[in-house]
Amino acid sequence: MNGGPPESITFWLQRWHAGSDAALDQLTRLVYADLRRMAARYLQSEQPGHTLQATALVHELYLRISSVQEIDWKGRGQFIAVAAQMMRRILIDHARRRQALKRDGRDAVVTAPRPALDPDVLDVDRALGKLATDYPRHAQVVELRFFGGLRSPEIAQTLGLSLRTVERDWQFARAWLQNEVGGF
Amino acid sequence: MKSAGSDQGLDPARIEAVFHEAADLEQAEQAAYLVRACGGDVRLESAVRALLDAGRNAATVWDRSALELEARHSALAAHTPRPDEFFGPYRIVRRIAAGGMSLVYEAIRDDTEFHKRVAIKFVQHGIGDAAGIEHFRSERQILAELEHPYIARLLDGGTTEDGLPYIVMEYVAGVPIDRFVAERELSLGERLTLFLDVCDAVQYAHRHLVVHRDVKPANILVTSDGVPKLLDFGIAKMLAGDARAQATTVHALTPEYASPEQVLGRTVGTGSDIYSLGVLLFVLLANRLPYRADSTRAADLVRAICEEEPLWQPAGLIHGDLQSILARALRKEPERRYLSVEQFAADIHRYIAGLPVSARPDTYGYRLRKFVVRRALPLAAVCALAIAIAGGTLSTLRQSRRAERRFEEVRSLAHSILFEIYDSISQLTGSVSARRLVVSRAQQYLDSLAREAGDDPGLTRELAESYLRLGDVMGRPYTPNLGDTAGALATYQKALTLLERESARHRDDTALQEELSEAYMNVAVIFMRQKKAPESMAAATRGIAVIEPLTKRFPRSAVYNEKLAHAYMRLGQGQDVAANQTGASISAKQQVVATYRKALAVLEAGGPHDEPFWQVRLSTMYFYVGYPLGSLGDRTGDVRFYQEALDSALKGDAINRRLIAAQPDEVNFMRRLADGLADIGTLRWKCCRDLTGALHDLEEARNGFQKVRDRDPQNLEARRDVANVYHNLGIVFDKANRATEALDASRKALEMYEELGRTDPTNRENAGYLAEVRARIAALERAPGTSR
Repeated sequence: MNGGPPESITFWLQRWHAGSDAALDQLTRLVYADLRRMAARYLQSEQPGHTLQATALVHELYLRISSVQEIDWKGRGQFIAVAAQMMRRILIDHARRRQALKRDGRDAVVTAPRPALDPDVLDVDRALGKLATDYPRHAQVVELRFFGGLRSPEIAQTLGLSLRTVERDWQFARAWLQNEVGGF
Repeated sequence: MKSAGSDQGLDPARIEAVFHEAADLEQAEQAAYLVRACGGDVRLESAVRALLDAGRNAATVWDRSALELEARHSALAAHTPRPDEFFGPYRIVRRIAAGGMSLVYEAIRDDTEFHKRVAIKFVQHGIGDAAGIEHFRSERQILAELEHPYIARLLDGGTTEDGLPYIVMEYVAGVPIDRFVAERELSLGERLTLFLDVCDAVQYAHRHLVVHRDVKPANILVTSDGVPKLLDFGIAKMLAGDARAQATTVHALTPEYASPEQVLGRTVGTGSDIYSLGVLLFVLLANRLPYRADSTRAADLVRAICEEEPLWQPAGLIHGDLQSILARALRKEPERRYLSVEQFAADIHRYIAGLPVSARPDTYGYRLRKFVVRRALPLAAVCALAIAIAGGTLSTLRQSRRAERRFEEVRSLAHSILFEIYDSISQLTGSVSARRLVVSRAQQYLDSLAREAGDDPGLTRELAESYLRLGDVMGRPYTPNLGDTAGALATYQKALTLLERESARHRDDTALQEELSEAYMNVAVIFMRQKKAPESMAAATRGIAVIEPLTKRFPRSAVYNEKLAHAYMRLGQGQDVAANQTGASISAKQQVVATYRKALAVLEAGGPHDEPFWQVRLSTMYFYVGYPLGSLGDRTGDVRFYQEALDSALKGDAINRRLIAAQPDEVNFMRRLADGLADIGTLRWKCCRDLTGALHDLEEARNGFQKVRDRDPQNLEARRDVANVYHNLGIVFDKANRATEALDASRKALEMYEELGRTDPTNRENAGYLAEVRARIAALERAPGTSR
């Protein structure tokens, strides 16, 4: 992550692992601020029509944390999951503000042309909430993948699942979400 | 929204299990499986089926991350002008139109003194890439230079905070011209007058070197006062100046009004607008397009635009001279249309005034010509399309970050142009201009590939092969070609350079040796055509040196034997020309005969004698053996040489007749038979003074050549053949002391050679014949007709 000094995250990670609960708070604040700032910059700078780099921010975080050898995967996995949740929250906030802006001009004839194939993040968020009732593990996979930008092997490692399970969960969850959000 | 998973009473785990089982099956087997697996539980079955359907549609959508989706939505929101938003002094009111590349909004200028309605055009979201913006800037540039009462004026321009340009134009409150004339039920005269106003606007643009390129009703709004306004110079092009504007760009144009050259992706000039104006006038008068109603599919429409005559019935308001005027504007070939909008308009003025118009009904000659052109068109369209696509690809070749992939694309394109498209075209008669187009494009591709290819051995070979092929197409003698001998030689030599380099590295690669020998042979042939005998012999000798070891290793190989025979034949040709250049000594000529007989022996010894291609080669060699023998006869006066030559030629002729009997429509066989007869006729006279037999053969030859030429009037070889046979007739008549007929035939030959010389000036063989025939004519003219 370009945004903050990596040492600090590593430092707090190690403290957390060593048993300090205060370290987790510190870490969360740190990462959240980091993600937020980077997401904001990313979302603003994006020009229409540009192809995005697929690498999302949590993914970068993942890569960084993976290199911290001292921490076992359970701890790292928890932390990545937290980061993906944060990212989800950041994006949802962003989408809400965007929606609010749009509603301000709702009397107008002008409507933003909606790209035919893009689901709205807010719709996905709601659907994901529903998915989690019956399929909590699948929802976690989606969260890491869709909001966290992690790839299947990374998700498998993070959640302690087999790669095959992750792939199948994703296959199912994707169909489920498409059916739920559908119509785009 | 449908809900699948959370249906009450359904076991989520069961849904998932059945889903996965079914998803692993072929789609066709899923239904049966579902019935079985769900055992009559319809809710389960429909829940899983909904998921399976959704899963099939979901494939790519969910590969994007939430961050990416949000960024896109966010960018979209940011770049969509909202009502009451200001751009400069202009306040957005509403959206008017969304085109392929742009969004147009109505806006108001809220200055204190006056309110002014304007139209603001923004680059369409998602197309805000460099090309789109460049395009947009050029429209702004063009509009800034145009000020005409019937063209919507450019008022202002600017750039949004996000860096996207916008242009502010005169707001036109009007309806498209086709709706206007229909709603107002305008009379014929009123329609024509309104159309003349449109012509005025287009003509004005043309005078400012701007081609609109998208003239259609949607771009011509008529105000309530009946004033037309030409809009949307979005794909207009400056005729002069900016070189970038000349580059081929493929636009999403409205094909209904597009000209054939636009549809074919060719150079578009003012003639294209004239065509579109023709379609427009047609629509205004007949209330329908000039094409058949079933031409709604894009492919049908393209075909109709490029090939079909306008459909005149039902005629609507199109009567008499109006049809001639429209026919002229709608001609497929730009150069046969009106030369200018002015001229087009002038004819309409004359029509209104009751004067005769300049456009004539189509003549018989015009139709005939069209017929010939027509058969080549569908393929030309395919080529143009391929070329247009590749043109775009190539231009970005170097700058692209994915240069590798594009490189592959261009490579396969050049390949398919040469090997597939050209092959299909060359099967057709009357297709020379389409071929020329293909060839010049292919050459560009290959050269650019060669520059980028580096040291890749596979690619080097592929390139060499393509160059060989291209050389054939440009000017391989004795096959249909484009008559560009010099270009062909240069192209063959490019192939040779590449192959020599590769062959030095891979001595054991027989395929490579084969290609190398092929390349030497092609070069030998061309040098031959240019009467550069030493160069030709050197190339042929190298060819023999490459191929002879292969025939030793594989004595029964028809392929190698054929190539060796071919190489000997080429060597013999070189020796023949060299002999002629150095005084044609008897021994030199006999050496030529010997070389040709070597070739014949190779052919007779091994090969599929029942196959037409082998028969072709055999017959060719029989005739070849006759040539130097004939010269020996000329030189020594010994008729035994002629007899020997005639015997050999007659063996060839027997084979030729078998070939044509098996395939009577094969142009190459027709030509071959005629070719042989031309020789035989001459020999009959020489060896036996058999004038009747000679003239009979020569006339049969001439008829045969003319048949070939008439199939493809632009084919230079066929024209050369007809000229040659007249040349021979001249000789025989002359020798038979029939000066009048000799003069007559020679003059015909002269005329044809002169024309050929103008088309292909570097062909020295032609120059040689020209000199001969001129000398004969001069001699005949000097000696007053002593005998008739």
